[in-house]
Amino acid sequence: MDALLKCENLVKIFTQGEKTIYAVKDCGMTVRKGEFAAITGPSGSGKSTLLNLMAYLDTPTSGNVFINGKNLSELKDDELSEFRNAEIGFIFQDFNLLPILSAKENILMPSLLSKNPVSRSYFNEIIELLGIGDRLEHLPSELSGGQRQRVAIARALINKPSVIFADEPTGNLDRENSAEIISLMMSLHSQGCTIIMVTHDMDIASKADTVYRMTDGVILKL
Amino acid sequence: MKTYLSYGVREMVKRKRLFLFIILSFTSVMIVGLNTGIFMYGFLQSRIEQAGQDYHFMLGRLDESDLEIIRSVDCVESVRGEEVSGTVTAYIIFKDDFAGKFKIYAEEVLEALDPWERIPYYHNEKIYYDAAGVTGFWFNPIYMESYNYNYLDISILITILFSFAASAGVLLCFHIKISSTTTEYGILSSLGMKKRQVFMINLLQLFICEAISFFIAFPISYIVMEVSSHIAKKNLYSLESNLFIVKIPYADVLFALIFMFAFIGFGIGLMLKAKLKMPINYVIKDIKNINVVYSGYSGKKFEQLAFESESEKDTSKSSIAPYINIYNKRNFYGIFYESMCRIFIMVLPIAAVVTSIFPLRPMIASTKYLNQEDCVVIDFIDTFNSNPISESVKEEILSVNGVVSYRPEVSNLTNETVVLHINLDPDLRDSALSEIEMICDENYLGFTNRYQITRNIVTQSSYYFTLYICEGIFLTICSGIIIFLLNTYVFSSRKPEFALIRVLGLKSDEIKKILMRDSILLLPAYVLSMIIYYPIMFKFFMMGEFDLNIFMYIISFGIIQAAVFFAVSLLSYRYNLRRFAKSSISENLNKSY
Repeated sequence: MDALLKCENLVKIFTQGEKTIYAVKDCGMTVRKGEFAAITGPSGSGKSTLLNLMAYLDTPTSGNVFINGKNLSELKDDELSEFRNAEIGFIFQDFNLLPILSAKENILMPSLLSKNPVSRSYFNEIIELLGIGDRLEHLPSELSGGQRQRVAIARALINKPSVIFADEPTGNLDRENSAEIISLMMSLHSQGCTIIMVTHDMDIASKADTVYRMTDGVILKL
Repeated sequence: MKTYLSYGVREMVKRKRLFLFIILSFTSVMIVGLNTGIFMYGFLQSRIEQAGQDYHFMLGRLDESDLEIIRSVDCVESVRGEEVSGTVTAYIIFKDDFAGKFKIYAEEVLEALDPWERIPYYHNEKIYYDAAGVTGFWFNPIYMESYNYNYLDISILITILFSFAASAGVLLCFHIKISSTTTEYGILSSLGMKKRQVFMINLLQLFICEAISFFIAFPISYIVMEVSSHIAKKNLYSLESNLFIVKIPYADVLFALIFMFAFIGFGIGLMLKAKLKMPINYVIKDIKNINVVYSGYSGKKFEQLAFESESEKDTSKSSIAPYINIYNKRNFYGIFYESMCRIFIMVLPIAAVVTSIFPLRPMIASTKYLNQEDCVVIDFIDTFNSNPISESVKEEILSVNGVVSYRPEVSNLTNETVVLHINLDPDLRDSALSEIEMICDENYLGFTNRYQITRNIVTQSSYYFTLYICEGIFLTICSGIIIFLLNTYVFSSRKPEFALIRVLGLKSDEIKKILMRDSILLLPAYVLSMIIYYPIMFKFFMMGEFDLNIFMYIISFGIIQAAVFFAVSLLSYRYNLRRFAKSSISENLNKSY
């Protein structure tokens, strides 16, 4: 299979006063199209930082990220925005829904920013898949944790991205909701969706095609 | 008690940027309030106490022995008698120039005289009040005379008004703080903290903020007053004692501090009551009032643009506009509070300048030719000629070396008397007077030098104008600082939202559009400020004896201030956008105070 995402020598250094912290040390990884990759590791090991670097939500101190053959570090800010809108879906641990928008509007937000609006039939398809059809007019504050995460997943899927980055998507959910969300992610994966997920839950990671372990900023393929 | 108070202090240290914002706003507002108070205090004191420095007069058949009796009364500093047609006017100066005691002193003088010589007593205080245009607006001088009110009563009233406005501004800053920490109060409540203790934490923080702000604002106000007065006095011809000198009214300052603390504390109590009345679970989640306004705007345009089948999307246009519309329409309360903040900020300094300039302005206008040092008032009386002073004579007088300008005034209906207010160069005063006397003789005109009556209403308008301009500039700077901080804070609080939309594909340039639309939305606040301010100003204008210059000054000041605020807003957005662009999206996503 073709490589969809490729990281080369990614390094991220934070400085706190005189202290230098190597959050990500010389990371390299390749994710193929349709692959489900899980990144595990203890808290503070640099998993989320790596995910942010791969999605270019954060700029690496050095190294390159390629998605669909495009070097993200060479893209201008506007091009990067368009690329993010079209090619990347992001699911956060704490949902990050816009509180002022209803569930439906949150889901449609990437489409609003896109040059290619979504079709109503695809929207309905996602809603059906995620089972949130009856909560569309509600504000995030009126939804449960599980429902919020489903809305976040729908939002990540709406522009049919090449890759979905999920940063501990079940971290704020109970066991039941976690299982449902993971089963949803698996179903997306089975439909050909490329997923890169950060999790510290080994049970979830075991369902992935490839598992990486991160310790003190260093990544290791298991 | 110690535990939760130390929590309050720790919170201040942890959220130093937020508290720095409150302290700076507090300081700026306090400087504006202090300077206004000092201005008003100076004005009131000059209006009341100057009257005391001048003479009081009594009309009657007083002889030299009566004047001696008056002179012997303890409270009397000096007496001068002047006879006109058999009536002697006694001009008295009291030792103590405190206006509140004038009536008491006058009683003492009348008691000392024989009963048949206890004639009506007058003092020129009232004349000054009338000339100052104070009557009927700030306070009624007749009441003041009757009840012996003193400046402290009135300045405290004004202090209350300004402290109220300043407190309202600070309270809105505190509202931002309380809103951003509601979740924490919920958590603390769940751990067993009482509502009263949450209130005490906020009260302690208010106290610390006020104390720090005071120690910054007080010396700054003092320095600015000193510098302003120094600059204003540079081209002064008048005697310094004839001006109102700016000095800090300590009693008023203390009163204002207590009032502001009490008022803001009360407001905080109400805010907390509203926030904490929900079940703790809701407080922790900080469920806001979005629901209330949500149904008011359905965001149909948003959907139309998001679905391809329902609209032909024009990609050249901003795609973020529907989101901005939704945000603004559903965030009614947020915009309301922000607008209120701006109205207070906009109105406060301009109100400070206007309120301090207006009561004085008619006096300045009416007395600018009556300066003892550089002016002479001449009565020209000719019973045989209905127009005793011709244009040629006026021209002749104006051509005299030392005459700067003059203002003729017909003093009665028959035009028998013309009073000419001649503005003289102080250095050429004696020679100019001799020349004018010669012109009067040549033209058979009466000449009466009566400039003495004006001693204590002498003012030099340039002094006040310089003072006002210095003050105006300074107060505008203070307000500019508050606006900069407010914009910075509002931008910072929206950083996670902007970052999230960036994750979804928003271009960084489009944040500018969001800010631009926000600014447009706040325009009504600025317009409302003007609507509050200008009619009041116009009302004053119609009431007083203003000339066009002062009107233009106020209008210009308003326009300059609006331009400065607009420039500050642009600067603050530019500054914040740059900082936002420099930091990464993931960093901004997790941003909070």
